Amino acid sequence: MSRRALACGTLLAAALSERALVAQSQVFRASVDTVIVDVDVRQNGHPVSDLTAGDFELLDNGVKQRIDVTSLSRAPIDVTLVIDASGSVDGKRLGQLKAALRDTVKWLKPDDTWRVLAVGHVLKEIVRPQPPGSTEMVDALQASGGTALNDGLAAALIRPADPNRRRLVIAYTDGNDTSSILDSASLFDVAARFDSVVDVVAPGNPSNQPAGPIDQGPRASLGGQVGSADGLIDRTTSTAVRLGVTQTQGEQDSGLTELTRRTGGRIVGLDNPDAIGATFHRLLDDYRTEYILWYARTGVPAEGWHDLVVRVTRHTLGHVEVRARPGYWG
Amino acid sequence: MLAGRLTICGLAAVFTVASGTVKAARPAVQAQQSLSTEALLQAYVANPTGVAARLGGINDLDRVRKDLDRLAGKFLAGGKARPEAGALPPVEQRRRDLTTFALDIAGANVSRNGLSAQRLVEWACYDVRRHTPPSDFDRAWQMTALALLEGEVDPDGLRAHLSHLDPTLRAEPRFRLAEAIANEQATAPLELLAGTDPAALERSRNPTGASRETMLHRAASSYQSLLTTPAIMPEATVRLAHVQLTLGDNAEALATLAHAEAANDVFPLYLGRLFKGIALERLGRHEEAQEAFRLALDLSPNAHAPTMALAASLTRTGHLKEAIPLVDHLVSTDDPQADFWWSYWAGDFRLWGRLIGDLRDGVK
Repeated sequence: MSRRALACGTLLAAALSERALVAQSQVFRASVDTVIVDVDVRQNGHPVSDLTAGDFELLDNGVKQRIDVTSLSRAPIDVTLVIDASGSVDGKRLGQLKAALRDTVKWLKPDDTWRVLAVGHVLKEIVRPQPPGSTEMVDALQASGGTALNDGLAAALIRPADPNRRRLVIAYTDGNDTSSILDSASLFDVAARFDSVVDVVAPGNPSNQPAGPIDQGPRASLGGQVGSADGLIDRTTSTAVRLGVTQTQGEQDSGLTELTRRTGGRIVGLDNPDAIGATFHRLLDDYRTEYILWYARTGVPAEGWHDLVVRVTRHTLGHVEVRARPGYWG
Repeated sequence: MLAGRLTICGLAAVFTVASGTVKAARPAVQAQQSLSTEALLQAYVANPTGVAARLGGINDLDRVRKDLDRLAGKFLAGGKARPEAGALPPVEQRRRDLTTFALDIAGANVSRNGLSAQRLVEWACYDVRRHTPPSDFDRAWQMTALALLEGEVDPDGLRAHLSHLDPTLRAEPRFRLAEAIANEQATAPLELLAGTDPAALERSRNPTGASRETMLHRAASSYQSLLTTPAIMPEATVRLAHVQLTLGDNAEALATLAHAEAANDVFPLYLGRLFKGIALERLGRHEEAQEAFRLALDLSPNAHAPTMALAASLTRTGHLKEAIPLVDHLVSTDDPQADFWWSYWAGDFRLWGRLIGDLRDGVK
């Protein structure tokens, strides 16, 4: 598949520093042939906000690429909220989820869209993709049956490409998958064919979580403690995804953590159910502080698996934590 | 993390079974019991089918059980035989009336009173199993009870029930299959099991502390021993394949499913095609997998599991334009589609509607 970069730069206010000027003035215009990577850069837990293309190095299957960069805050976002609507959330939790969904809409920009997938054993799109506005549809959220979370996440990801919009999936679950037909490996494979970022919110006890960065896998540098001041943490331990037909030995306890890692997202443990809405808000805000890197791939065959390595090369910054998806299928 | 698990019949609660098709059930009507247990029993005896619809909405099944325990002696011993009762001795007719009523009322309220329903079944079972040798009624009653208990996804309770049945019944194919299902249910996600204490659940379903892999192999052996029994071979085949898939033995599962198409029951036939597709997909034989998923959809159009599996396979093979409409249709369909996959763990609960109907007809 051939890919072309369609980015161009424009000038902005002179009050900004030169680096910030370049970073924030890039207009994000891409085509379906462009490789796009959302990148989160943090230092001591805080986003680093003034980076330009010259501050990044991106390797696609080991080959350095010429990239363009802009702030993700400049791009319209399509947010899909995947909500565990199994019987276990019936009652007070269901009300908290509805409130969280209504709140989330308030934090979207006019050119963003939102969508809600309710995941019981049945998958139901209770809010079709649409700009922020009425939230009456949220009332249709009902809880019953099992949880087909893997299936729901795959349904959230399998959508037509729109290269000029960024896609964030935020999933909430209070338990384990009981009803999916897709196993974790299938879900990972599906996810690697899209450039959506997947964040997961699940119950967790911060006191039980070890400190430190989450597993970095093949990435060069990665971390990303999220909102510790708000009582949020990245779950560094596994979250079980127990499946019926789909579970094989060795994959049962790491599904969600691995999915977020492979999409450049994060998994957040949440102790206080009243904070579901605040957590969604925080994840959305954090996403907007990320960078969009895009490039027309050169020097590597289009087909097959592509390992991605993203580094920040501005040495004056010191240690930073970089989070991005570790690869994609061409 | 087990915040708010599904209760007894967690799976079964969302299904009713009609004519072999699994359908999503409407929420139970929260009607309070307007008649006393004794009056309800008398009404049921006169018209079991008509009264069955009024058995739901009882919040305290343990009280019903205590009422029946108090009433049973007088009920079984007294009264005249009903004129329509045929050749059955009055006491035998009343035994059937009482035990069928107890089972029916347990089933009608199992979704909200799981463990109490289980206790009620076991209370009635005493009057069934002490009748030896088991009659056709006793066999039918026990099969209906099995359907209910399997739907509860409580392997410990299911095994306990099976253990006190007459040996001649336990040797019959459907009862042997139930033992194998109990072995597999012990490997189910904890959220599907009855109960509220995860640690207690883990202990009860796995008292020896065996590894999950050991339990899966035990389940596989149970099913393998049934493959030569024609009456249950199709279902044992697909269930064995499911265990093999869970173990990651995909080639073995595919080999097991080679004869699944011989089934004449849509339940194993559909699941056989679905599981075959999964095995093929995992083996990298994507086009064959997609064909298997389409064949499953032929049996149950728009069913969630094969639709989702097909969409994922199409996505993986670059056919996104075909996958997207499948997913769009799946998530926008308001009426939940029939999918036997949803009732897999609930065993014979899919047969509950027919079996309890037959029992009611039998005691008229």
